[in-house]
Amino acid sequence: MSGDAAGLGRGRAAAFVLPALVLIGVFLVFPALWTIYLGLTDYRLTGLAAADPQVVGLDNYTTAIGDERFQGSLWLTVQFVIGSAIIGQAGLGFAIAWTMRDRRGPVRRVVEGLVLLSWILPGSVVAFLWIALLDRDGGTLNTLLGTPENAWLLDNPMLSIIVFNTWRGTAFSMMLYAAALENVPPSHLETARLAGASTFQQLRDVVLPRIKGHVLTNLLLISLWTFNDFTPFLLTAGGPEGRSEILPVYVYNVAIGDGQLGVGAAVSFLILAINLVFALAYLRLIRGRNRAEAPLQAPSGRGGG
Amino acid sequence: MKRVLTGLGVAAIVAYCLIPFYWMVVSSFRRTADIYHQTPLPSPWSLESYAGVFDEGTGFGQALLNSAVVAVVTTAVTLLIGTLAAYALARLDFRGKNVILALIIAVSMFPGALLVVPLLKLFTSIGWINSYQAMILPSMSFALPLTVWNLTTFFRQMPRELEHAAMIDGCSAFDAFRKVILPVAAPGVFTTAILAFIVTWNEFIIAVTMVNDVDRQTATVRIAQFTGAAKFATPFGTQMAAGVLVTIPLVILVLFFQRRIVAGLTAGAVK
Repeated sequence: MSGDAAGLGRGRAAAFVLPALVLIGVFLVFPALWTIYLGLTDYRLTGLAAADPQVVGLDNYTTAIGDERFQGSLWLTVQFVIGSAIIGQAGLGFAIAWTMRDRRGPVRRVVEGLVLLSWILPGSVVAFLWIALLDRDGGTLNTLLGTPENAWLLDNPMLSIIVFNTWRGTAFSMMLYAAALENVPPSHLETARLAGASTFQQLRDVVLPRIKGHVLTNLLLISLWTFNDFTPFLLTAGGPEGRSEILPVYVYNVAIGDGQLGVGAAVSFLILAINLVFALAYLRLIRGRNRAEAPLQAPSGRGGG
Repeated sequence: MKRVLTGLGVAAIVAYCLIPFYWMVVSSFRRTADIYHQTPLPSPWSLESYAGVFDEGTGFGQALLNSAVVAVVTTAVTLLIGTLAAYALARLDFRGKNVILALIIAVSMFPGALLVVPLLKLFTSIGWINSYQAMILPSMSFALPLTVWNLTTFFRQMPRELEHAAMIDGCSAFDAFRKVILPVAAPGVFTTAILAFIVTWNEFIIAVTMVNDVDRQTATVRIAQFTGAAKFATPFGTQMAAGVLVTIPLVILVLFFQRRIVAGLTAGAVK
């Protein structure tokens, strides 16, 4: 009975788990495996190769990796992740959590509520919001800054989507850091302050050692979500001239736009491989924390949809 | 000096977070002719854009209904299946359990864009294009990893003595689950339900790919395809009004359950 406190029995346990596994298997794992196969063929959306795709081996991979557009896209994705996730979301999230740590009441609730809202709104809605904000002729930002006729999305597409994604995704970092900061005993901060430590020294010597695990978890998860984020497509569609074509947008444009499903699938698989590296790092991290008797951290969906 | 700087910082952050929302709401109440005005409040106020959203031919009412059907069915079935799986995973030590949990985390990180092509082929071949189930089943598989993982963590924190006591009192295993465990677990299940609902309500890629029949489209997709009455002008007003309407259910959730949502999203990060 030791392993079966609920008295379920193996058969019933299997019956309980099976429906979930079947659904995940059919609609997540199977399509992913199919993507791997499609990446080895010359499958196209239309035309001859659509009816009778041929296996072409690793051609799609060599084509993609040698393609300047792919390399450029990879580089843009790195900029996007560093700029909007690691600097933007984690930085702003920590700043908010740190500023609000002693506050209770309406200010904190309103700020948290707004940040949360920008995270959980549908992508198509927030995209419209930002197009209206950044529009050249009637845009709010130009009015506020007194810079009429500045076409932000055309002139600074990367900067636009980085600022956008920072706004969009700060919630998770903010919530995680707010929870983590409650682990830091106020008395320790007080002692450090009385000993004459500056805010920076307090953060480095008192706070950081206690929240290191959370910082790592957070950076890993938000990098992963940002790496896979498709929402910038709704703002710039990768343009102008591919100057904001991050990898998920590149896949979509190649597979659906140009109809080269085989190449698209091959690049998808490369993305999946990079994801697996992130996922393994994450699993190692929580396993390490479990051994240290720390509780689990749940993966929380797909970056707000 | 320091207080002033902190205050300014807070104000800047609030402005950064608030302005896009504020502008959406204000723009949605302007008249179409005033849509490019820059006044902080609409003058005069107008419901023209909201009337436009529900004009014949936009099908937005139907789209909201479709979104509700897909989100409610998905959430309910996901919760049922997810609760059972999570309970078994939390309470029973069986071979392969850790593999299953690892698999669940790994697949929860799949990018949705990656699954579009294979699922499109699958659904085309079995004739599911333009059906509710073509949106519901993939959405369930998207929401399940999060549901199972969250609930497993949650059930694990409950003492095993609960079932022991119930069974000593003569409950069957199933009765113990239904009468003792579920009531205690209700808050966790509820939080997870909110999260699953949000994920499904916002789903875009699958819905836009699998459904092209206007009568079956969900609200997030319908909004993205608004062209408005004036063909060549971007119908900002109508888009903003539709955005406000799609946002309302989520605003209500945040207003009432902010604390729960925060707790659910950072579940287990801190005891």
